[in-house]
Amino acid sequence: MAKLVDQMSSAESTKDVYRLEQKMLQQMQEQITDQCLQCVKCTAGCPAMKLLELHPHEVMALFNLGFTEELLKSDVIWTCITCFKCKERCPQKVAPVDVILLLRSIAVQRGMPLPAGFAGVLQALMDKGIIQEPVEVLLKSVNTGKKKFTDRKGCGLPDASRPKDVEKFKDAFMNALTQALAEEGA
Amino acid sequence: MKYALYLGCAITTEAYSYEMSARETLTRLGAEFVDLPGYSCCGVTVRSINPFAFLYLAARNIAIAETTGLDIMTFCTGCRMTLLEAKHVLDHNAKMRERVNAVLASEGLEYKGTSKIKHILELLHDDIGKERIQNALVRTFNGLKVAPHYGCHAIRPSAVGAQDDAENPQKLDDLIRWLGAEAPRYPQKLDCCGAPLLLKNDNAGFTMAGQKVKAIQEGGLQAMVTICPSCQKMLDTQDICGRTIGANLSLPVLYYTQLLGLAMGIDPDKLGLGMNVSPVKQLVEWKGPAAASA
Repeated sequence: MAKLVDQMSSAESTKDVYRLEQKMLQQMQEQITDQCLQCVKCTAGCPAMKLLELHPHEVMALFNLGFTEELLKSDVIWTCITCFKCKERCPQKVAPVDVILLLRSIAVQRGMPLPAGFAGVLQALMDKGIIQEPVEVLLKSVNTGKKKFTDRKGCGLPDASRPKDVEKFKDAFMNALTQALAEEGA
Repeated sequence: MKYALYLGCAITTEAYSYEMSARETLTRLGAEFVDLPGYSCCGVTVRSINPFAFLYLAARNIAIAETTGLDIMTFCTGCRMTLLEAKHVLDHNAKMRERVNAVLASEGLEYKGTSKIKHILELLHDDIGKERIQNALVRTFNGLKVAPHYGCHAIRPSAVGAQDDAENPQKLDDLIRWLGAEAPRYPQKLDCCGAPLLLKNDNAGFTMAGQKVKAIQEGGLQAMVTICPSCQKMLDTQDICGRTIGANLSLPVLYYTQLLGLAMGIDPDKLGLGMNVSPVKQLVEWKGPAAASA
């Protein structure tokens, strides 16, 4: 995975990446400076607040005050469930979830460690385009009570769909992964 | 009601009972599906890693589906949200669409934006509808109290396309009532299943699932229905989420299409009910509220 992150972060010249990154952060900050009222409606409904102490309004405030580096290094940006309640409920139509997802992708682009679960999914997608090979599932027949492991065929389902030419898919996916997060002038 | 069927990873590789029950019930109700070759993951996880690669993955699947000239049907709420979000960006940002198409070209694909993206909830509620569903029933679940679990990504973010009210969804409630069952209001209705937390904080994810099942069980509801493979897996495997919160959980949790299939008189094994972990057999044998309390 270190290799992958290296490849992704060295995609374009560091200077260009940095410039685009700053631009995205700046755009997002301007949006929040103008809009976020710190009404705490996002945090009030946040499912990750209850269990993992994610306070989306604090993320917004810290981001707005320029504590970007601190947020990028913090585990807190990886506790969001992406339930999108904050996006739905914000009276000002600014979404903490959008800021959190932007911070995550910038952290990855900078080569900061990707949580193991995310890294595993990414590796699987790069290898085969889907999260896992079709698995065998334990089936206990409702009619007969007999237990057995079964697969798609045993369930009477068509063969699993997947990229036909995996090498071509890999190249295209890698191409996408190594491109800048946003375009110039976006 | 002919659709290009995009199943996504979870259903293709694991949630066979969802696919079995959905195909069995929906085709009997008049829906037709064209299976798509060569699709990949929708990109839901990649959203946190690289927004451009996320757009590419979603667009790739939409582009494959668009070659059929049909609208796209998803059974998974995660795929629904991901494809809709990507479509929203690509339909409104010509420059981004150009960039994505430049990458898609190596596989001979092109995102055009011609197909709509729909989810099974809309298909059942809006396209098939009450009359067709009720005409197909051979039995009802009168008196059965069922908790509808929508799943976050079935109803949010509404900015990219809403199939139901994001704060007070009703369509799955309706679908339950059309089977003769009750769908009482319950306070945890909008609570998340916790599945996305498995990538980083799995204990918190299982806690979330366990707390929801526990609350529903203690509230006197007798079953829960889902419309997403990830939600179903979290809420159905109650040994894990029960152990996490130190509770003894035993609530039947099944896909809506499995409950519908039972009401349509379809063989439970054809609905994949033998793959559910929670005690769904009591619904197969359900004889009405009096028998259940006896």
